[in-house]
Amino acid sequence: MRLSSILSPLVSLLRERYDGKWMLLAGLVIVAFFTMVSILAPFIAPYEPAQISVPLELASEPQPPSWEHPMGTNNIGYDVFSRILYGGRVILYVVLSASILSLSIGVPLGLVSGYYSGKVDRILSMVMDSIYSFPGIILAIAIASVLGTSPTNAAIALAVVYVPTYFRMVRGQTLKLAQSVFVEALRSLGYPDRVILLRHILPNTAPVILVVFGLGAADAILTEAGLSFFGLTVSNPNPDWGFDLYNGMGDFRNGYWWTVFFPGLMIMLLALGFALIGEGLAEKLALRVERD
Amino acid sequence: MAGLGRYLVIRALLIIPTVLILYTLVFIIMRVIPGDPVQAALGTRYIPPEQLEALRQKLGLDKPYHVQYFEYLAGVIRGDFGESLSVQGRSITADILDKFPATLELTIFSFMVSVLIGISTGIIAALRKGTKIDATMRIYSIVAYTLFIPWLGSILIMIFSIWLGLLPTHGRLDPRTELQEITGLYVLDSILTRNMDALKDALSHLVLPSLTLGIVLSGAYTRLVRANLSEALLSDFVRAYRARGVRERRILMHAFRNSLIPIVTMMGLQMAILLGGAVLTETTFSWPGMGRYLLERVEARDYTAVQGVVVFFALIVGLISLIVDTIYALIDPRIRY
Amino acid sequence: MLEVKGLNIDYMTLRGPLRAVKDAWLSVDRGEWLSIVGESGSGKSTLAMSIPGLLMPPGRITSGSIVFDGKELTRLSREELRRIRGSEIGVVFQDPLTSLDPLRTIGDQIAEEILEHDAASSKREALEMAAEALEAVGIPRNRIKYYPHQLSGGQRQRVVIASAIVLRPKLLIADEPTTALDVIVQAKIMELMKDLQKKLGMAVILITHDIALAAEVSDRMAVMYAAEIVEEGPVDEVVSRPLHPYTEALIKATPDLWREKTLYSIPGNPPDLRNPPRGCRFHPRCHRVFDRCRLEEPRRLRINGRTVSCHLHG
Repeated sequence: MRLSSILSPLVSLLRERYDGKWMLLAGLVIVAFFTMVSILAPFIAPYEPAQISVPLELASEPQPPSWEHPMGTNNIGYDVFSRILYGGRVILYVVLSASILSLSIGVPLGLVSGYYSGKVDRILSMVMDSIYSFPGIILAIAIASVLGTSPTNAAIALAVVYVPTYFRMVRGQTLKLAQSVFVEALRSLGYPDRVILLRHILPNTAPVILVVFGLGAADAILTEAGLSFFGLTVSNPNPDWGFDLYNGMGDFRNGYWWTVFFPGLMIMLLALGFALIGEGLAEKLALRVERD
Repeated sequence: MAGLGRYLVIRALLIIPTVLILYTLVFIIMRVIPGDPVQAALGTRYIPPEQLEALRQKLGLDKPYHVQYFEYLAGVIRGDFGESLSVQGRSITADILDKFPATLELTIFSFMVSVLIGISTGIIAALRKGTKIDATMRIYSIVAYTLFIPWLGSILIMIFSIWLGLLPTHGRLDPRTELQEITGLYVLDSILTRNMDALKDALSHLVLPSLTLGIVLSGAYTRLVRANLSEALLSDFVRAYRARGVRERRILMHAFRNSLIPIVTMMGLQMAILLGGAVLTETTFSWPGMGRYLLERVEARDYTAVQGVVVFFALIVGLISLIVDTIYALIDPRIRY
Repeated sequence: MLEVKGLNIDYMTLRGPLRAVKDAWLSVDRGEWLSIVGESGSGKSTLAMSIPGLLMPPGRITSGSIVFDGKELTRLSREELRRIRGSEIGVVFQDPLTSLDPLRTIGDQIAEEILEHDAASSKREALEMAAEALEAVGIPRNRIKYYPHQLSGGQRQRVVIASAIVLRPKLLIADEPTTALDVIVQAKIMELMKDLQKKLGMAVILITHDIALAAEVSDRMAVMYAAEIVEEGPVDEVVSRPLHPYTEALIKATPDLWREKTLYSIPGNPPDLRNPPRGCRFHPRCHRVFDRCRLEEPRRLRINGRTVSCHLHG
């Protein structure tokens, strides 16, 4: 599909007036902000993410937020703010590549499966439904633990988990469209299936794909944070929100709240950003999307 | 009722492919590990090759893949989830039986919290549709869902345990509390043994973990109850009830019952997320259940245990969907063919 | 027994209020059958539903009065209105497939109504009354434990009628009760309603678009067009000598098996109620239109116990 065929409806969505527009706008602003900040992290970050940023005698005790350290420091003396900036890169990289990966597997399979409903469709649906009904984070943990700790492996694990989400939605839409009078007419005019699928059905599923992308990415943010929390995305001393949050939990109980509070807040805000995009679009399209 | 029985048997049979698919998936994944899983599990320790070979033989890992596949499956049917790779002679079934009650107890309470919060906020939103209260509930439903469980848990610990000193920070029971275990569900056990101290202690340990997990999952119910109930309230049969002079309160009850079908479907799907969320909740609150067990086994590179846990969870998910189908049939007479 | 005077009903829409019923006057005596006839969207259902207080928001009565059995219904509290609904005024809706709760047995639903009006002392007694009501509408009493989906459309409408008459109301309002049913079942349901009317001595307000049906069963008939009652009177007179050109057109548009003629249809479409035509609302479609119709709204005229709003008559 050409990029313009996804983007042009999005642009027109921003021009129209409707109920969920503020959600879409707020979501886009949040996600754009986090993306910008992550890209520019090396220029914004006051310190290196894995470098002791306080005098050595202060390094072993987390320092509270101050002018020098807006989000404080952790128990090694790393600057929490700088780690958050760099950590954003990891989570965005993992979630976006996982989403694109599962989209590029789930969408074509959903199209084909929904269009040629038959034995293959039934088997494929059953496989996808089974994965879909299974707790995503447990599956992701199992896969990531086999592949080993790395952002790319985490992305692969997440991609497996989210393929069924795209598949189900696209298949459902395709099934509906394939039985429509419109497609019936195209078939009787002798259009080849390939053309019908790519030129007529796929563009019609684009809005749904966008909604699922938003909601799926929101969910993936939380799952990534979970993987990272369990040390399956990065290893010490690399920054990642979930991982930093886990490492801060011991200090948290001793009253050093900032090492946990800020990474968790960022996870929530970024997930919220994607969720609002999905919700706003769904509102506009009056779609009731099942949440997983 | 014969129709109901037949319906449930069909539903029960449908669990089998689901479990098989997940087992196959995890079996394949576990076999793509580069290198030797046994060596990986034993870490850097030096083991003489012949001993390694003996271990491999004992665990059946020397056999061709398809033999392994079916042998393990046969074991699962007998209730045997295999043997640990890293702790010799440790039965995974025994481990699961030991850890699962803790997870079950946590999920039951979290489920109740999420349904209670979600349904009440959803009803409020549906009855006040289009008002500020409705909008607030709407925002709640989205935000609740995006809270990261360990973060919310930590904040609750900070407020209720550390600042206010009201509730314990971790574990299922104070080490000083004595409780005779029967089912492994501490609340139930303390009721069975009429042990009031243990009951109080077990419940106080449950509050924060189940609140954490419950809040995160409640948002989905809020939105769903709102959508379905407000739709049901506009339906023809509600108008017909009104025309018959039935009180609004009772009408609301009937409308709610009619909006339950999609909510029950959601409960089934949510149970899977609940089990997933439990893994994070358990780690946050040092809750000795399946989630912590899974992580411990992951760290030990104990792949047979990981495989066992996944297959076990698949069975549980299948079982839950069967329960959901049963509830369906009980609510809706049209389903009992 | 029922007097509707100068009733105005508005729907609050995003683009301002829409008057769905304009200055309606009606009266129904004890045991009398009044049919309100009109095209869909003419406001006939809205008018009928406003009587027992069943207007769906954003609809609301803006002015006028509804006196039923000596009580001013527009001033009653919600609870007082609820007590009247079901016990003194019964309602039958258009679609029997959706006006029963799919999750409960028909017996439970009728018994609940009886209990909500304190008309029985126990569930058992209420179920017995429900069974009797079902028998009265021709449903065997053993069906009391059936769910709606186990019954046919016609049977379900009988159940709805049973629920409407179980407490012997003085007035039965039926909103297109047979539209959703097939022709043979339609006739049987109408026959049943006519029987019940005689047996129970209740008044009936039938809402229908079918003027032939109305002519057959009613005592009086009111014709609505674009939110207004344009003509009202004894049914025989209205049908044989219509005073309003719209009534005349409706009668001409009715298919007649015995006189084989091509079917007449009224030219044009009903007006948009947000922006009704000036003068008489029917003038753009009227074949007897003259200048005054385009400028001046016709007043309600009383002619020998009939009423009509048309400039042809003064």
